Amino acid sequence: MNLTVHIEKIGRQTKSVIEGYGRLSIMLFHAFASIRKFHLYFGQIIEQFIYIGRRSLPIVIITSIFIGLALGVQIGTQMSPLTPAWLEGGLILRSILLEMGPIIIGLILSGRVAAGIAAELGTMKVTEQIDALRSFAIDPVEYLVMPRLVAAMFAVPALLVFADFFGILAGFVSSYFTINLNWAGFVKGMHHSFYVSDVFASLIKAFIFGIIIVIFGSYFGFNSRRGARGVGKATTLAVVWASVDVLMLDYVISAIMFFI
Amino acid sequence: MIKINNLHKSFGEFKVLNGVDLTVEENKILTIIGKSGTGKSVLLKNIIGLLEPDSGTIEIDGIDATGFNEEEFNKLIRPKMALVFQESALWDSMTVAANIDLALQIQKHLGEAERKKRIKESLESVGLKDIENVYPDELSGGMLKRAAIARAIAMRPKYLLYDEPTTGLDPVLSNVINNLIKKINVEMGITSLIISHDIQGVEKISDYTAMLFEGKIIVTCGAKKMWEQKNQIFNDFIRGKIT
Repeated sequence: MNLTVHIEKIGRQTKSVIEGYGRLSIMLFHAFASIRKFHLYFGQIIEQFIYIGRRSLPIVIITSIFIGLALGVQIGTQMSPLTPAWLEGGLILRSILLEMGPIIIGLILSGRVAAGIAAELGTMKVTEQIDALRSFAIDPVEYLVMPRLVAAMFAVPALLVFADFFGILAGFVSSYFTINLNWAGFVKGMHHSFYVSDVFASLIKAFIFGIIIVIFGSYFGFNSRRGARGVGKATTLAVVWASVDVLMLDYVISAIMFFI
Repeated sequence: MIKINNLHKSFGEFKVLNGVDLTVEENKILTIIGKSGTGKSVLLKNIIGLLEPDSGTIEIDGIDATGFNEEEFNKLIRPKMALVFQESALWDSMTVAANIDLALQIQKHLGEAERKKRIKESLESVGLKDIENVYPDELSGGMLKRAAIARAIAMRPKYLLYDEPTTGLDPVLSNVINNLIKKINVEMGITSLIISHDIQGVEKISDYTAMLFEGKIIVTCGAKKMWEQKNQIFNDFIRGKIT
């Protein structure tokens, strides 16, 4: 009996999650379809680009530097004394390019941007500002979601370039102090392990993570209800689900790129 | 003319509107009164398409808007209608002028000069001057209501729906808003549908009034004839015996 109740509960929750993904996909499709009117919202797109991109830059750089430093120490100390030291350049390059860079960006922006969007749109929802848009025949997805989506599709890959650059640079500094690897050796290692496809994979991940972050923030914001507590809950859900989906899609994209 | 026939709306098991019949005559002010939670705001939101009725019809100028999707509402209904929300619902990240400008730009596709003219005119008509660059959180309650009305009338709607425009205001400010609603109706010829608890205001500015009770309109009468009605619930409500 007790087991049946639990199974029913799991079933209901699973159904609810699937329905949620369905509604989120409809919103995403709607936002993409609205891109044809981007010229009407050029000001908002620029404003959102600054919010998502420029204002996230310091935290992205700081985080990347520390990840790069940690990678340098970890890889340097775990390499066998028989392994050529210059290989560390390649290991750091590929780790940051393929995984650490996109993941850092995805998770940091899930916390900063998805939360910000969910809180802002959630407040607009509970104070009837979204209904006010609709009452004036302004499509809320077109006005609120599409500019953020377009901005994120450009801003997140741009942030990734900075994250990769500072992460790799920090990785070199760390390697220099850990195993005394010089710049020439580091570059040799990077050159040895560099594949253009890695850059594409990295940028594709950032592009998709940008979409994920905006759509989860917007979806939970649009669906928030019951005042301040509801907005808080929407914000938490946006961060949690955006982070989970960033990690899931990171695996999926990595697997696809591997097989390609 | 807005004609509502046998309108039903439920939220889950809770029936809010249970067969509403109502006609809003052109160029008149109709006020809907009723206890809190009887679905007055739900009725307004059904008319402007923010909520979808379960059954019944809403005809606006002979167009049956029932079952319209968002795009059809945006094209056929909302350009001739505006709603003043109970809590004003001004977009708080924008200045007052930008609030008015947004809808003019996106819905009406007006040029900059015409938009500026409309912003100035609408703010002047509600008695607000030099607040174009002020943000909503810097305005008092009465100014917020007037700014929301300015945003609505800038669209030059044929129908203006007010959701409790005087709620939360002191008697002096309520009077100011009531006079403003009357002025808008008379000078601009805008048909007004108001949700209100302010019985004195209703009597003063409305052409006629209707009472919503348990999901139905139980009385419709001329506002000046409110006190002559025989319906006990209506009488008790306007005399403040039930709230």
